[in-house]
Amino acid sequence: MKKLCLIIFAFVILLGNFAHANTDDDVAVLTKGKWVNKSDGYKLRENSDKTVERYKTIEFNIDRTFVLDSVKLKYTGEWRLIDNNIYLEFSDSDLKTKIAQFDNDILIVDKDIYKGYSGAFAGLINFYEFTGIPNATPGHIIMLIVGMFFIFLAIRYNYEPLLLIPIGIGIIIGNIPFYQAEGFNLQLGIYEEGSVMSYLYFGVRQGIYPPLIFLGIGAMTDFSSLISNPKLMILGAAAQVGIFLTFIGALVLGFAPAEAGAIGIIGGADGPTAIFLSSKLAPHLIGPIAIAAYSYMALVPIIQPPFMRLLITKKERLIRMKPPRSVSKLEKIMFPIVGLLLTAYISPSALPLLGMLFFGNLLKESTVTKRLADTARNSLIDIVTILLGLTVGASKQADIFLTPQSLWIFGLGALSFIIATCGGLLFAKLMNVFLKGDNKINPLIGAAGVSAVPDSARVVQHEGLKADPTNHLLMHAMAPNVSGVIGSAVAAGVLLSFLM
Amino acid sequence: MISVIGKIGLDFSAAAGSGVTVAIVGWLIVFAVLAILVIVFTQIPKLIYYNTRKKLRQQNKQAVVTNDDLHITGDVSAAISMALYMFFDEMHDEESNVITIKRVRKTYSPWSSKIYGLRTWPGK
Repeated sequence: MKKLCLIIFAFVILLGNFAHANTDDDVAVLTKGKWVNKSDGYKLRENSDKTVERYKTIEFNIDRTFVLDSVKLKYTGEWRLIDNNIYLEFSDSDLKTKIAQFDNDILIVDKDIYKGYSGAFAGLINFYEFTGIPNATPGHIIMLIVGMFFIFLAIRYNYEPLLLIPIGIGIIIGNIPFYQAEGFNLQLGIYEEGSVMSYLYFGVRQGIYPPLIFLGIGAMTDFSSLISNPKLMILGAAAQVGIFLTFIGALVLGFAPAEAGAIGIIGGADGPTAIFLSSKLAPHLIGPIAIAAYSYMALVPIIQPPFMRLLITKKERLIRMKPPRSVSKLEKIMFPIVGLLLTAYISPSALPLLGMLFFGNLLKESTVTKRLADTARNSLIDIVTILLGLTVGASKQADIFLTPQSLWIFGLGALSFIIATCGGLLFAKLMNVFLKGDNKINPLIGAAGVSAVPDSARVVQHEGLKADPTNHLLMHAMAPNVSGVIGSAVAAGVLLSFLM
Repeated sequence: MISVIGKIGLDFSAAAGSGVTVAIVGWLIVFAVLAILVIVFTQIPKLIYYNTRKKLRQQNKQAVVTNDDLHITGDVSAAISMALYMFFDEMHDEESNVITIKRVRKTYSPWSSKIYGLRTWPGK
């Protein structure tokens, strides 16, 4: 195999050498093959500070015409050779005639040095330039490792596999290096107008996918634990303190108010809400915010328990709650309608999220639209999850994602999650001061107020069982958990109306 | 934008004014929305069960009808549902024990009939 490669390499080199073999006839040399220049200074894309090296070629034809092929455009014209000077007269009358110096095997045009190669070798250079290898940067490699790490986490440890696998493969797709230059559009990347990925990403940019996800969530959520014990809903509001304190923290760190709002919503522990709000307030931060939100949601079983043990005493963890009453069908049907009217009238900016959430729930609870509810909670949410995960992953291109800003967003996101958890736990303790007898609540369920359905409720159940193996808190924790979804959507609406 | 963030710099004045106001008012609004939901959904069952409560009061002639008289807990209803499910699911065990063999007859079809083969002239 090595020998074969060497032979091919030698053949290619020979082809190149043939191209600039000395002959007496300069014209013959000039018109044989192509003249290739490689120079720096090409912007990677509009608004990008990064510059890259790109090839330019000139091809001289026997009929005295030439083609100058640069990154952006092809220029044509006529050439004349006078005393080793080549006069390039462009067909485009706006361009001035250029004088190139010709010295047998090199050509100098505007200080750019061109070397002569055979047409085949120039073609190979062109092909090489369009492969991923010359366009790869250390950032691309780091992001590829990040993408593979996500896939590993999802498969090996089962961390949010429905999200981390699409996001992980999306990161890999988004970080396959390819030929990019300002003004040159191969329609491949997610940020290139007209590419398939950019069309799919449209749903993220315009906030279309999150409400569709909420429709599915509504159609699969049973609010009966919340209806049976409405006071637990307040825990969903208490935990939203994380959003607002992180908002202040981000302002202090120097983020603009709209950016701070988008970062704060990570504490809502609700991926679709985070994407929805950041697409409206800070579209350039969607990538890190979405990754932070989904990563911390996946890490709920690691982040929350230490704070639960820190803030809740052993005695409090043993509190048994009254079993929830059964809820009538009428109450279940009334909940989405009344809930929509009340929440959307106060916070209309959250209408796309809340409207779809309660609509989905009405489809489920009405029991007469079983087909629609099934579609919303199965096929539709699956399709949208695939598109959302893939495009959010692909939007994390190295040069956009690997910035100091992203690190700060991750830090603030973690802080937001912790504050939200502590807020829910402390408020549950506070509620117990006013509740008596068997109405007391187990303060552990306050941690479920952060949303992150159903992971945080599962964590509460797990911690409750550790304290007392017969004390099942899951049903009770689901109440603040789903009210956290409503609370974070309302918080997103409030921030949107204040900051947009 | 991007005043941020290559260097660490804390600017408390940025948050001191409208930032804190937005945070406090925003949180209060979230609280208010969910508090209203709490109030509404605490009262709705009372409205729904108003008639039932009234009837119970008339029957028992007692002044107090507790929630326990109106509601059953989720685990009790789960137990009842389970019992009903088991009952209906096992009903097929009561069978007639009569085994019958039904004869299957094929209906006649001329398409498979040999008398209409290609070697026969069509009838006039």
